Amino acid sequence: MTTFRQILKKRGATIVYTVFLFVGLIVGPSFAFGYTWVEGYVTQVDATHFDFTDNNYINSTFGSCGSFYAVNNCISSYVYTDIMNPYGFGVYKGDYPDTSNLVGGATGQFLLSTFNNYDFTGYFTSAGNYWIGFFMASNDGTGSNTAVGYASTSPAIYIPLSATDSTHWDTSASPFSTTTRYTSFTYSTETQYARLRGYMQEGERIDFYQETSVMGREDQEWYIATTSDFFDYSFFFHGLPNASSTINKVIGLYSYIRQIDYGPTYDPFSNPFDKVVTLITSTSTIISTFSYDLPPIAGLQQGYSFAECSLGFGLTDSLPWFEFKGFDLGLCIADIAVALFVPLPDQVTGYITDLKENVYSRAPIGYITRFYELLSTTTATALPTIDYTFSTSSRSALAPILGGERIHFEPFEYATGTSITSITSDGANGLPEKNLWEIVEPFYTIVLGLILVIMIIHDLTNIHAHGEDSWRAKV
Amino acid sequence: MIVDKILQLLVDILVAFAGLFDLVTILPWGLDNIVMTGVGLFRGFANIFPPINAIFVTFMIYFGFRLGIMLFGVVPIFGKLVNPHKKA
Repeated sequence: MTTFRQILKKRGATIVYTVFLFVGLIVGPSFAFGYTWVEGYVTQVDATHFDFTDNNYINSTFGSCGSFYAVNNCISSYVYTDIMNPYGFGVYKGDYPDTSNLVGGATGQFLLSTFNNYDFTGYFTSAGNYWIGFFMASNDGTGSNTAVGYASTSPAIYIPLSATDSTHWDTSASPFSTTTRYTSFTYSTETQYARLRGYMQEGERIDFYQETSVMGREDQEWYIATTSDFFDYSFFFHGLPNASSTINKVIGLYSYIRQIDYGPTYDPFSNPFDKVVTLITSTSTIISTFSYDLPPIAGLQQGYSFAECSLGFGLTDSLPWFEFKGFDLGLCIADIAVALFVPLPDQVTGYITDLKENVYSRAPIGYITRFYELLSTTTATALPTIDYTFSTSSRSALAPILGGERIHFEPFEYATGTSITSITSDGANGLPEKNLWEIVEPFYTIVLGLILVIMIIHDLTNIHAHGEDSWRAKV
Repeated sequence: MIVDKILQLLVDILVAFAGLFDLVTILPWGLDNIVMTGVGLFRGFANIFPPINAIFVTFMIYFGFRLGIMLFGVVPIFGKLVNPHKKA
């Protein structure tokens, strides 16, 4: 029989060459061409149709195609190989493409031509904002769907669209429209940033500010577009500082895009400040319930209210304007004085807990703590009893008589409890049945209490003091 | 806040100092077992003979009183009140 060793000896060179070719021609390029960018385009044919174009162009020098929501017609994800075909698409309804708002779509190993002049109108049902996501196939051999071999990190391109009704896309709001416009205006009172997205023409200027009836216009910031393109800017806004979290004040966030023309620059005598400002578009939003806590006053804010120290612009009313309510320096100082010298109960409790956990548990105080713990937590145990069964195999003459007999004796029970708790009254005439201890206990307690009081008075007054023998003399 | 910071400082010092000593989980020399057994039996005895419990409580009150007086007498100023014959 031909053994493996013999095969290796006979065909060794062939095996080595085969392995070399496999590694060199198959595995090597896969790693060499990994993580490149692939470019693709989507174009709108009409109100109902789109074309998808994949130019199968690999360029590892692409930095980034930008975020998907910026819609710059570029696949913003990396792939493993240059095999790129649309694998499927999904239609989402909402402000963002998310699996939770998927309303339709299809998957399969589509050819590129499938998506040429493709009609998507069957996938939306009413007016609103939609996204279409095209998912690419890139065969890296590791995809979960081995039938089509797409990568687990399927790159995709997302296109935001607006539907005017249930059958037509809004071409004027199409991402491919070059009209100056806002496409999104969101804000967060947590981060205190507003985010504006849209399209601007070269030379146009976008302004942002917040305006309140108290502080007027604040946080104004602007950008000037150097090229006609989609924009995505974040602007900081302060809001209003309030002492109350239930305050209800009006804060407006405003933005506008203007074309600013500074006039002919060839005229050296023209006024450089002469400019023609043309408003292109504007947007705004009102925040009615935004507030944040006052910053701590030099670290003094520890659960105490410093309401008296605020300038009292009607902090508790619900009017949309701010009314000055007055300021009392005396009360303000009193508040601060209390905070300076009176520790909060919670903090004191915290220190005691700290001591218990870290000091009381360590020697030598720890021995006292442990002793106290034993006294307070140890449960009652049964008292010893005498229990014996005589053996039948005993050589004693009494074995035939006592063999197998059992002696059981509870000395403590018989000496104490039996008599005091088992002797009971008859409970006649509807009176409750009581045992001896329950009847005697009140008198017993009084006697003990009297003895205790007499002992204490004796000690304090030293009635029977005998000079140096008195305990007071020994203290 | 000032008092709070002083308390915090004292606690921190005590905690740091206590860290030098061993953590006590049981009493040494087998005392833990002895005390536990003794207390258990006493409680068992008190269950069947209730008066012993009242005597014990009374004794503990008196013992606490004596301990308090002794501690009170250790303080130099109060020592004279407790013991008029005590020499300064």
